[in-house]
Amino acid sequence: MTDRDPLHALWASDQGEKFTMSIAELTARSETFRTRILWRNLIEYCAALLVIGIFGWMIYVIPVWSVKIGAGLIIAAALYISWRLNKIASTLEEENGMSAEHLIHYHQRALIRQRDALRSVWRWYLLPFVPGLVVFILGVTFAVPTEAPFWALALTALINLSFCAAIFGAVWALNVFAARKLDIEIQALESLSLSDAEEEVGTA
Amino acid sequence: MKPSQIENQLYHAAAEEFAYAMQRLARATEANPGRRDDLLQDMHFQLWKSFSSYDERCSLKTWVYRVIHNVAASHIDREKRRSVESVDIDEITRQPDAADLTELVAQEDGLTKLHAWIRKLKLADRQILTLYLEELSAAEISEITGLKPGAIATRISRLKAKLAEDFKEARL
Repeated sequence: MTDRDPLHALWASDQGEKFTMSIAELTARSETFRTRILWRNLIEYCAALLVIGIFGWMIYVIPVWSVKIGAGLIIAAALYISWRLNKIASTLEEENGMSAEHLIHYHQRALIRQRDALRSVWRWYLLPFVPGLVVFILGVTFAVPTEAPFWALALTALINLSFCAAIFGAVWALNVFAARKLDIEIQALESLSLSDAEEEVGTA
Repeated sequence: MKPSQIENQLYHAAAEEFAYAMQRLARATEANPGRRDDLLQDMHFQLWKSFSSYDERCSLKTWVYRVIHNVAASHIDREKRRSVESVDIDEITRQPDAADLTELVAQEDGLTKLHAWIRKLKLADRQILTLYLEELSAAEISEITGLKPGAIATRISRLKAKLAEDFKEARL
């Protein structure tokens, strides 16, 4: 007979009052869950609406076509990003319930999804803003009547574009750094599976 | 889609049998009482929803543990930005020291310390250890996690050795 691990007894001593939920409570939780998703979507849409409001107002009041086009492109980018964020956040679990697949596979899949989203942030989050920002900054700098010489305008445009590029670069670098950290976690999980394979070879 | 009568019955059966296991997992996963209650409710809710795709080839026990651990994993994933360090057991090669573990068990706050220690583990190690503590066999843990029983046995031995070492150091 083998002795019971004392840790098992310690663990089992954690009893307390039994907690279960009635179907009515679960249905209410389902509603809470839906409301939470609704609020999350609403906040994202409000952020998009704010961008639309600000740049829409510029389209209306600034009588320069290049500025209007730039502002329009920024609005289009905000709408696209809002749609993408919503698509990423709407995970399978929210629609069909939690997966009952192997824990390691579930965790690996979740990490890969996050890593890919972070890695591609430049494509779906940063790049859509670039055309609008460039057209808008150049439009504001050159198309608005002013007494300043060309070199001064060019320098202003360059400084503004560099400032935007620096912010975009920082966002991109932070995301790449986070993706690398996830990569290490994914590799650790893969190595767990590899140790299985090695073990199989060892015991064969 | 609303769960059917059969799905509701499955949930009731599972909740009745595994209620304490869910509570223990929630306590070992989340220290904050408010967030822990939320996690526990989430486990019940997701378990209830999961029965709409229940595969009868899988035992109820395996199904329940997979779902609740995946809920806990998602929770950890959301919260992990709060964590400051994680315990690495990959370098451990020695055997666990039973005397130190017995001492831990005898302590009044042994369970609280054990929970706190588990929360520092990497996700896969947390899952293996908590399933082991639920007295599941290596074969059952294998079916739930997707790892081979031999790898699980090695991992459990390392975890216990690290646990014994950490508590010995904390005592000194």
